[in-house]
Amino acid sequence: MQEIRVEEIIDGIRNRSTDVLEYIYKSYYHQINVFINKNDGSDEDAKDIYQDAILVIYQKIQKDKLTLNCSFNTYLYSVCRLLWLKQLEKRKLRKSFLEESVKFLELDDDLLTLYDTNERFKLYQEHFSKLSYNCQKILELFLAQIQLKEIARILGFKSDQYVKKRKHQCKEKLIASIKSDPRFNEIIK
Amino acid sequence: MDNLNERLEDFLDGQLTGNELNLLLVDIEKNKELAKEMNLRLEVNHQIKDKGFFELQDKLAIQLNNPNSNNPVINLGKDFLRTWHLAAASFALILVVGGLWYILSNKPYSTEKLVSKYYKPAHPILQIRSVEANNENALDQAFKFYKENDFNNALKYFNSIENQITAKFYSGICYIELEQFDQAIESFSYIINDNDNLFVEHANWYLGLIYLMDNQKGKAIEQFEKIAEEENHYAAQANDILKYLN
Repeated sequence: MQEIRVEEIIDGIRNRSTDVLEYIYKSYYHQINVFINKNDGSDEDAKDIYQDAILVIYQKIQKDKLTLNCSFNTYLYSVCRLLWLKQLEKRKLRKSFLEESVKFLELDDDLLTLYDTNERFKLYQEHFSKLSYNCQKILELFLAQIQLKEIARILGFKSDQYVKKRKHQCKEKLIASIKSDPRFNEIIK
Repeated sequence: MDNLNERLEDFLDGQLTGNELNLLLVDIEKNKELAKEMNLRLEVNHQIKDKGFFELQDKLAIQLNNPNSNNPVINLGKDFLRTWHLAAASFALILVVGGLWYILSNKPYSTEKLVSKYYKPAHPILQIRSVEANNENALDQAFKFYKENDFNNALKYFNSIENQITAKFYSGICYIELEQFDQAIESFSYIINDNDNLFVEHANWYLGLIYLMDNQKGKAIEQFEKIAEEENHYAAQANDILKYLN
């Protein structure tokens, strides 16, 4: 497998390139899996941490310009390590030392902040996907700044006033649904 | 509370001005709960808009949960042994394979392979509706059948809605699935000619794929060249396809 430069990997993640994601998975996942399994985790945990790490890195790339002074392997491992430590804390399994043989970086807490944001996003998305088709579309089109009249035309509604009213109802329904989730208070801190 | 939520939403939508805006800003500064409520609503808006995040999440989920994928953990041991065992036997084979590869690599990538690689049937641009359908709404009925891959019945409902962009787009997908390419071209052309809607980019992409499926290579090349020139989601893929077609 031909090696890809770090800059290309970062670009690939930014653009959600299937080829780059495939490369990262084939090149680096095994090491993450070994680390998690050696430190009180399972294969399922490894998959979750790996996915969360890529999503955190994605958000980091979107927010700031990510420039690495190390290999992507080291960075990814460090992010996974940070997220796994947090997970162990949550499970009250904090270890005094970890079994590892790979170099890692000490990372800023902003990555944990991004992780928390991602967790909230996933919760919102779960509830968003339970809305009716029309509600989802009204909210998406409205937030894409499509005019009310155009939304009415696309969806076959009577008037832009009706769309405005429905938009409000759909948003309130979504917010109420999110707040009723038992995980809401845990995630919103 | 309803009125307050409405004010918050109007604020987030940029529709509050003057005195109303000032009053709300003062309230938000003084009231922590109100500030939290506003942040929640703002974040929910960001989530709805951030399609990239969920596209990435979906791709990662498919990658990690695909039992047919080349799992680097499971295959590591097998690959190691296989390498040694095959090394001795492969020298003679390399010569034959090398010759064949040279010949085959000069053939263009087949159209069927391109289509199966790039055509993703029916993945919605926007979220597919939930199961709570309003049965009286033709669009809801259409999507109910569409979700079940019953494209004939879905078409009946999509086509009953006149001049509606969403219905036109998904009727185009239905026609592709039913291999009725002329009608599919008509549906997507309608969207492209309208030009002032969210589906234009996707309609152009599907139109290119239809030309491939229908063996209209010249038109396919023309279509993908047009897509490749634009700065959009499909430009890179269009370029990939053009490399094979040319």
